[in-house]
Amino acid sequence: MICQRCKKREATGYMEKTVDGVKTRVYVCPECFKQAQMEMFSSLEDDFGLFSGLTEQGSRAKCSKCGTTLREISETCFVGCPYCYKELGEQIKPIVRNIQSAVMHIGSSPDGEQNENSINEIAELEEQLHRAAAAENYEQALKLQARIRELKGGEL
Amino acid sequence: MERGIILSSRVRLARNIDGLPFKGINISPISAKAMEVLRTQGSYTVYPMTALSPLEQTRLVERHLISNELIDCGGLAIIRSDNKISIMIGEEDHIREQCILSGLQLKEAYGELKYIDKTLCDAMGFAYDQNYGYLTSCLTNVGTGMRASVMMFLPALTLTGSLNRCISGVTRLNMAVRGVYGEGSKAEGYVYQISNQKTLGITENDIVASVENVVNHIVESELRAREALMQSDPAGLKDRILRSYGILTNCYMITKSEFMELIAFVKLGIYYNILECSDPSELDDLIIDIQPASLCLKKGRRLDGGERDKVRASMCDVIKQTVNIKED
Repeated sequence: MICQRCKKREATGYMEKTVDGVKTRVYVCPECFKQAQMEMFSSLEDDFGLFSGLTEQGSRAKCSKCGTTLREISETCFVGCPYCYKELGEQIKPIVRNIQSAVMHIGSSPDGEQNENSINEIAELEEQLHRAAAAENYEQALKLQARIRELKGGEL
Repeated sequence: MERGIILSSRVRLARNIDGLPFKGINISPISAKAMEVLRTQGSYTVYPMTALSPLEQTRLVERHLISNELIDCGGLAIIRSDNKISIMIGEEDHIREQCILSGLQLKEAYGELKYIDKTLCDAMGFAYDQNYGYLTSCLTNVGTGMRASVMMFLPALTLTGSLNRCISGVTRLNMAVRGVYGEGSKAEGYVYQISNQKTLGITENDIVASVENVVNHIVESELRAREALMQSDPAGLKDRILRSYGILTNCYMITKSEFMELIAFVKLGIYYNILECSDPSELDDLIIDIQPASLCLKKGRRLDGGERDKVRASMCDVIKQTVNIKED
């Protein structure tokens, strides 16, 4: 199926739009999907000042090594150098979450099979969740569940 | 049965050298170091894009050994002699390691790549962060840097119109369905690529398992669709299969898109036992060999469209030799 946005490339997925309570599906190619995500992202930013840091400080926030700005990253999804992740790490988190529905790596590491820290953290949180549920502390359990979901990447 | 539906499995890992910007670097020292490591593990050849003719470059794309982006970036590929491993240097990321195997072998492909990845990482030091994992140029690859994809032949799902429903289901599971040559390409010959979208917050083994799971479901749907296709119009389908076989084995000229359409029906004919084939791998090789650049290089010179169509038709002799109409 041809992308309904650019009408050029092959559609590989769809987006759902709700206009006046009516849900419609738009089939899109990966490029238009990325573009639409970015548009949605900046409209949220405009509407709610969600990344108010991005509009004022954000235009100034940049990697001291390669000079890539946070705005450039948010617009293109491209990062300039490994150091950007360190220096702008916290600020790019919402963008990463938006794309990956997760912010924590739990896969392999150069030193060993698995990223030990996050695996241990998940195990520890699951233990706490178990205890909170047993004690009927549902508020705490929900918080823990959300954190585990975030670490695992959106799914429990 | 599955072999005809699942064509190949590919695992790709995106890696970058720590401390270097993602763009505009000198790739020579990286490739020299990589070659030094790889040389001890097998027989590898270096293919600098700047030293290859456009035909040779396209031939590597047609064989899925490199991406079009690597050509645009003027990068370089290091390819193992069995064409199963290819290391692209200077694409979107400094290094992209890839293993491609036939059939459903994602686990095996990752297993093979894991060792190569470890030795390259030990020698060069990849950019890695405790929270974000392997650091990549694009945020869509960060974490594991892994893309696991499976190439599938899905004529019945396409012809019965069920593919869109299938794509919707697959995208909901964070997977992408693309044409045979990746992002933005068309699904020629009813061949599609299924791959994971998510690379962060998931382990490599879970990526492999989730893609395999989706692929197995698609195989079941395709088999059901093949049954439905045959039931809805058996005579019409048999006629289309035999006509396709007839044209392929008697044509004097044939375009690539017509060839891809007809060979799909020949393969369906083999599935339905209307045709019999002594060696199905010959057909898979033929599909690669008739692609424009591969075909020109086989002839040793650039051919225009009409000449290519004639050569392509003559290459269909392989079908005459390996495929026959099954007696009722």
